[in-house]
Amino acid sequence: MPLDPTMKTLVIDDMMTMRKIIAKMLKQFGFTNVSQADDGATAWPMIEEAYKSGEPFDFIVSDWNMPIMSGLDLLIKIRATEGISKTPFLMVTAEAEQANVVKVVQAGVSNFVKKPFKPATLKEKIDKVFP
Amino acid sequence: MDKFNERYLDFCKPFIEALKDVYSTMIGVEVTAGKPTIKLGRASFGDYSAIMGINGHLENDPEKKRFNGSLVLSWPEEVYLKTSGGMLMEDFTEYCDDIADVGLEICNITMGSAKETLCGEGFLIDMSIPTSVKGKDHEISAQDGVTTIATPLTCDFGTFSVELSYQEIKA
Repeated sequence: MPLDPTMKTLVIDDMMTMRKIIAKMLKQFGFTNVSQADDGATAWPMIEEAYKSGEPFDFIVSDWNMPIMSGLDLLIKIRATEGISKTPFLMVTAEAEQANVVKVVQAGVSNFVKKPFKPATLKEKIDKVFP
Repeated sequence: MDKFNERYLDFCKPFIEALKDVYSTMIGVEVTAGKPTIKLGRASFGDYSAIMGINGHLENDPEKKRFNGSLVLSWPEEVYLKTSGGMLMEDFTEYCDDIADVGLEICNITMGSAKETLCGEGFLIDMSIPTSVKGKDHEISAQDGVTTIATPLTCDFGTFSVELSYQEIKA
């Protein structure tokens, strides 16, 4: 799927600061349809509802370390759910040890970006999700 | 220097480097580390502190020692406002909900980066969720009874502090 700035995008992070930073960067890249959620647990019903309404999210950008449902658990749930299992998923993480990279790759992540990052780095990672 | 103190210093360095990287990458501001000192008492350095517990174990230690402690970042109000402005690309003249978790995010990223470096040195840390304390003259009880090394960090915004507590526990 090619990159379309009007695609329906969901940014998930328990920290408002990082949600705002990512949303601002996406806006700089031209994204116009960005929603936000503060945990995997609050994102999941939004994802389900969007699918049922016939307007599923086209792209998910999620933090890994969240208190109720982690980004990894959310990714596993999405990949196991018919209809949304192929949703492009970019994981944002402060932890990029080899063992963690292996975990998200095995879970089917589309790409990941390590914090801290500059706008150009995020753009590069997104471009690799939508070649 | 005994093995414990050597390990303590090895343990602290990646946190300083990670903080420098956060400021440089996310805000475009260079940070310089001052001389580390042993912190006495509970009083915070600044008006806003972000705190993250540290738990883990030493991978290559024959006794399989565990360790615990805390990472505390503490900013005077003015430095916190300017740091928040830099992170969010906005101006803030007073504390508000919009910047309530800026310090937590910086703490989280710092821990994540340091954890990665320390993993390669045999310190395996379990990630936790940070908390914050705000207000003039607040105290940090997480440092009670544990040796704490405080390092001042200076940038264009002023000076803030990174404090690390570290103790080893026999298995």
